[in-house]
Amino acid sequence: MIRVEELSFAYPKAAGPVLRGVNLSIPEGEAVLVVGPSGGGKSTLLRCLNGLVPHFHGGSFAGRVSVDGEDTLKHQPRELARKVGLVFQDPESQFVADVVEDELAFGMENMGVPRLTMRKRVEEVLDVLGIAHLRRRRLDTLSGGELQRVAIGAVLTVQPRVLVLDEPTSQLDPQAAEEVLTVVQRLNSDLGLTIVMAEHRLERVVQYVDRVLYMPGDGSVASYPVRQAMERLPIAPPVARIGRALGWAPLPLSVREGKPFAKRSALPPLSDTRSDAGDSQASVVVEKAHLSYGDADVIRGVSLHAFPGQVLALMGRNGAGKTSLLRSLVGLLTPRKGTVSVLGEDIAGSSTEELTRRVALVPQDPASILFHDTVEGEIADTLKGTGREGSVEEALAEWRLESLRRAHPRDLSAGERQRAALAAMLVGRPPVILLDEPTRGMDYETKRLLMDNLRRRCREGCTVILASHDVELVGSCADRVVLLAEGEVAAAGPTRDVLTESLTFSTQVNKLFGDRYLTVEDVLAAEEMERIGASNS
Amino acid sequence: MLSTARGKAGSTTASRQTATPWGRSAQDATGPRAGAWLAWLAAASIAVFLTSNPLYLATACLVALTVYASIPGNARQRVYGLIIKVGLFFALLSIPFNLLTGSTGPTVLFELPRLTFPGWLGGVTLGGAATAESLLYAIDRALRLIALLLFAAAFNVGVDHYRLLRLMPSALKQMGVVITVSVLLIPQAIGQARAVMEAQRLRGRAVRGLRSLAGLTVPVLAGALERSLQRAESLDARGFGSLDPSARGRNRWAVLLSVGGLGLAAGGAFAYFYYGGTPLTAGAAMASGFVLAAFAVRVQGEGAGGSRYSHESWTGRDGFVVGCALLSTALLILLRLLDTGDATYIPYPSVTAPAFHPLGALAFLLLLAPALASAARNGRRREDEDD
Repeated sequence: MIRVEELSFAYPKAAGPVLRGVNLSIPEGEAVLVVGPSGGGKSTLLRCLNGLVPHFHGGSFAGRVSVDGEDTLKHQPRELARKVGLVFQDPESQFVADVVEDELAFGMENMGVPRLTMRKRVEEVLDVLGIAHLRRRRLDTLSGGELQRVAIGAVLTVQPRVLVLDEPTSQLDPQAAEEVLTVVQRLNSDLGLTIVMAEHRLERVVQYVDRVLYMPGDGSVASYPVRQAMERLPIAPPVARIGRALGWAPLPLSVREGKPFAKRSALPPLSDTRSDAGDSQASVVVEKAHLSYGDADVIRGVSLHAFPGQVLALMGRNGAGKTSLLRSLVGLLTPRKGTVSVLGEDIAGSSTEELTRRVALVPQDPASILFHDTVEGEIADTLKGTGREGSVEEALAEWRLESLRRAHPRDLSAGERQRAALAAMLVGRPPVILLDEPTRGMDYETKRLLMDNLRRRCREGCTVILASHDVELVGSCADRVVLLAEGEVAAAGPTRDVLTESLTFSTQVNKLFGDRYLTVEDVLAAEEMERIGASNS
Repeated sequence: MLSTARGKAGSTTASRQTATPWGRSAQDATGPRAGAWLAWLAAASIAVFLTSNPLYLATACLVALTVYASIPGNARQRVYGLIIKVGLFFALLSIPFNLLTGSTGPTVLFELPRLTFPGWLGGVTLGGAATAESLLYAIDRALRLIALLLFAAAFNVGVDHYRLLRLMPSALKQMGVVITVSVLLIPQAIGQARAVMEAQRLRGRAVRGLRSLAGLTVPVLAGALERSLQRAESLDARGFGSLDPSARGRNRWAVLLSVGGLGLAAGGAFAYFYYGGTPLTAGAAMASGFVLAAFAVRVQGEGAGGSRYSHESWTGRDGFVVGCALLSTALLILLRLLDTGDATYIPYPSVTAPAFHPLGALAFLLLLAPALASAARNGRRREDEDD
């Protein structure tokens, strides 16, 4: 279906090529996952498949890409639209119409599909994607998962042979991501559609795909059958990492496949290893706070305590009030009732500008804060604005940005931009750090760096509060969890208590081993103890 | 008042979270059809142009505001809320400006210092006596501006732009899509400006003065540019503009023909208004120009290579809106022809109280039709839910 021969490509004015001598062949009906660090050329490769590269982006292109026998160099993307449907990261940036049904028909209208055929195809796609109930809804009233499903539907009505998805879930919460990935999997297994998808959340997709294309960032592409990829590549979901470490064969890719192995290994019950706050005094205290936008209450009577040296995670569905709560801790939202105090002081009278000296909040879209010409300029600006003491050098080193210090933030890859934004917001060692969905769309490498840096800051006595849907992140770095639902506290306590008694908010490792196991490290340590115990006796 | 009703980043998110996934909910796009809205806007514009009575114009403003408020919340309200505020500011500003730039009439309200420019600067006089006649005249003009603005805002927020596009000839559809897409970018840019302002505060910078404006402009513009590129990319990937190749040659001729036709029409109008051309020759030139342009647009449409998904079905509510619009226009024209109903009002030579005729008022109240239709529908839905 897709053949790529000796493909090399460089963007106009770029220092070097993004793709170098790539050779690939994807047969019809296969589901292929494209992985690799951000900035490694995944999006570029996907855009080669429908001719957007080079027709839309320009640049120097060598080699040949053909889809269903058609050379992408000889055909414009709008002609290839009949063969290849491309779904982008942000669904809202691709819509034209106001209503779902009209959006689904837009592509067909462009191609002059007869009206009766259009009608039939719209009905079919509504059913296949399970969005028939949304047909008359306005697009601006849909949730993120619904929007992305409509975006997929909008390219499917043209009946393409290949569906290409560029990180379709990076803007979504886990529930919405699940909705979208389930649909994609069905399109592949029920309709035999060829799928090529870039995606960071391996634990969600790896069990559905046939093959993995790994792009390490040097312009090359390595192709592996999925199980082989999980055995060899540096990135893998927790279940595969455990399987690899413990020599499980064939390597499990999902909780279901891993369960029999986990049963056999019969690990002992886990004693809690995390230290508690002890007698230290809480650095952030929220007492019976009520927060509202206009007439709508988003937080109702929430109390919480965060301690120095600990990470507190706020979890819950979209709209549960996590972001609002974080905003109130830095004075962007004033409680209607109740109090908020930071480092022993009630913040009621302080402005956000004053508070930023002690409290740093990294917003959901960190890239939106960057506006200087250089990365070091961004960092220096925060130091000047907040009056914190710190060094630009230290921040550059902490977030591995030394080589990019003079780069323009808009020229950076998504992952680099996230690092630049984190460096700019967290410079000067503020004693309280607030992070809003820090790992959304983040690659494994940046995520690991974030976790390491947060742990180090905690050891230095910093208080970290993070709002996140990312169960794996919370499981491996949070000390305590507050689970919010409808603006109220639904559960609160040590991470191991909250995450191990939950159906949806539990890690892959906990689903495998149960008890109080949360992370790959927990399992490996217990296994090691077992082995030592066995050899001693 | 407008901004409290809706138009906040938070409220959009809230409506998303409470979106019901079943049935025809409040978020269903079931307002009057695009054609009905168009008829309503035409009637409203005609009504505003046919009257200069400040009482009727004030009624028109209230009617437009009621219709605007009756439309279920959507993202466009954020944009038009802002446009209405800016428009109101300038309309109100025009009142003192009118007084300052020349008052006539016998009823002097107060005296302003007089400043006369020398002859080589136009010899204009500013200030002097401010009269009640001029004040009323200025208020009347501001009211007309506000009424037009509110009607246009209600139309733009209420109508489904994409379906409006379907009513256009195929040849103009591509241009229409481009305009629709550009309009979509505005609410996103406003949302981003808010986020950037907040991010600035989080970096210890109060958003005040020109310096902070620079910090605001660059990320907002860069973000808008990035999104526009993404959208262009997506339009390309979805086959937008995939013209039938055989039609391309014919297309060029059609463009030339339509430009020629429009030129002929404009020439006719120009000759009539500025060079005293006879109505017959000017009219003939304009008519033939328009016919030529229409023909060219039709020819071009045949080569546009697109098709249309569906024509909207006509409901009783649409009939009601169109009927009310037609009745309103007919009533006003009739009143003007019979010279009753006090549609016209001139505060000169001296100020008098504007008259108020029930039939004239009725013509404006008929324009409440979209609001009445949606109220009736909401009432019915509530009854259904109670059952």
